[in-house]
Amino acid sequence: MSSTARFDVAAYVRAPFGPMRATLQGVGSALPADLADALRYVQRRAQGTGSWLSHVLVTATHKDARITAFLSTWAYEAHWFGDALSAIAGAGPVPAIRRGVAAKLRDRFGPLREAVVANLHGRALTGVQMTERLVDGWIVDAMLERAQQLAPTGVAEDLARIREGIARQGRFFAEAATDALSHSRAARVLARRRLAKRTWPIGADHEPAAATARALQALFGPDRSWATAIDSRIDSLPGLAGLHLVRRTVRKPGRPPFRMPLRSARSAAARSHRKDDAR
Amino acid sequence: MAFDIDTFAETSEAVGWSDIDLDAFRTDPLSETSLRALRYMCDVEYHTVCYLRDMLVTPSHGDGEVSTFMTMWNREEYWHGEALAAVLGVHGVTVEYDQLKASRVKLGWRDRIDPIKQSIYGNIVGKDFVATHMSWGSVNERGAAAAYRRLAKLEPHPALAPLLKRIAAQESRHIAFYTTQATKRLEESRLARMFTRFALSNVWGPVGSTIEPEEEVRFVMGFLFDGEEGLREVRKMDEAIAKMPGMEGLSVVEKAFRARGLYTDLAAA
Repeated sequence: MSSTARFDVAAYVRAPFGPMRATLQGVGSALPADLADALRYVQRRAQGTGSWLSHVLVTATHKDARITAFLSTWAYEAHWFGDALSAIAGAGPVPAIRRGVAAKLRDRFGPLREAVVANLHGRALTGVQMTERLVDGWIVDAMLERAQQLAPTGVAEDLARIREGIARQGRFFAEAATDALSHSRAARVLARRRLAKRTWPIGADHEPAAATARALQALFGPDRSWATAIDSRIDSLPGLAGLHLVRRTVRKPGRPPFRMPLRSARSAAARSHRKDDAR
Repeated sequence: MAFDIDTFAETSEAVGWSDIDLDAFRTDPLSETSLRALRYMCDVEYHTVCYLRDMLVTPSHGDGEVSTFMTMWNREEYWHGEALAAVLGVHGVTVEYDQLKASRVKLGWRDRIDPIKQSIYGNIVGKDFVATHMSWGSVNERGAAAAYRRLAKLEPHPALAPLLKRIAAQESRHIAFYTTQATKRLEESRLARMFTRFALSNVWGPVGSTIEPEEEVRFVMGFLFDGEEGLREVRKMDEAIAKMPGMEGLSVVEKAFRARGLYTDLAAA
């Protein structure tokens, strides 16, 4: 697809990645325990899209039939990517998730709150959601890329196929996010605030922080270059410079920030706004 | 009735129609009435993602099996919409993303409030609300499958009937999932039985009645289900629903249809 061609949703929904088990090369390969554990971590993220969707579909996003057509297929693909990872990594311990009262309340009332708040923000939220998934896709892809380097050949080939699928999904999210952020100041301000507030990757807040820490440690060890590289990509998105989301995730995996960069959000938004005016 | 979610997921597929000669409609088009019904069905199928939304705000999405089913179900229903849109397209009726968006925008506040309502009910009733959701799904899928079978009978076009039968076959698998889940959950909880019975008796309306104008609902349901033969089909649905734990004696569908002016000359059960 050329950079100017619009993502072809009709073609995408016609040819999704489906069940992969029958064609996996690496099932049964002996994997180091920490690598298998990290793959199971990614698998849980892939098969845990319901919570994110519950927050998205209560907003104006659900009215956009092109986006919902994409998301229906995206959720289908994510399920099968997760299933493939599950087959490759084999069975293993699932971290005991002890949700505190506050977290349980967030689980129960989060979508309700979002449905109410969404009526105030309107379509700006759609841009935010597309940006969230774009960034999440970059993080997950970096994890799988590293796993690919650490894994035996058969598994590496399987992971390459999954990454191919994630890259295709990413093209849609990139287009939708860039479009929204370029054209809407509200989307930029909101995206900045919400992305900074989130725990990464999406769904990490549904697990003990130690599970995210273990997965990142197993894959990247002390290396931080991957995080810097993704942060640079985020910096290049309209209005999102200087968030350092992934470096923060590496410093405090699985934990949300103590402080939100609100001042920075305002000034960055103002800068973007001035740029818009100058164009 | 057992339901294997893994088998269902692995065999879930987009309904196919590439082997059906849709060009047959060019020389032998469908009647205006059938096209109107198809348009209604197409809108409902495309709208499935909004029903999914209403489910995701309830405790249902936390259940692994339900979540897997919903992912597959949502995609299958989307493709039912695509298949029906292809038939409508040959008749010069185009259904595009922008039109669907416009029709969703037109729903206004009702559409915005629906997920809030669902979430409130879900949080009040808690886990037992999943049973209500599954029972509701069972009734809706029965309605959809029966509607496709009826249309295939009323309009036995050689290009339409096979497509409708394929869609109805997928809907039958959805019925099996919903009914299995509903039965299990209703058996386990008195509160679930009470709340579900209340919801089905007092709130349920024909599939599509929350998104289509009332005039369309009456027209399409009248076309498909009015008369003795239609009533027989409706009673079959009601009998199946009444077999679910705690739903004995309900005539959910017949009651909703009579309220919309059907069967005025036929005696109630």
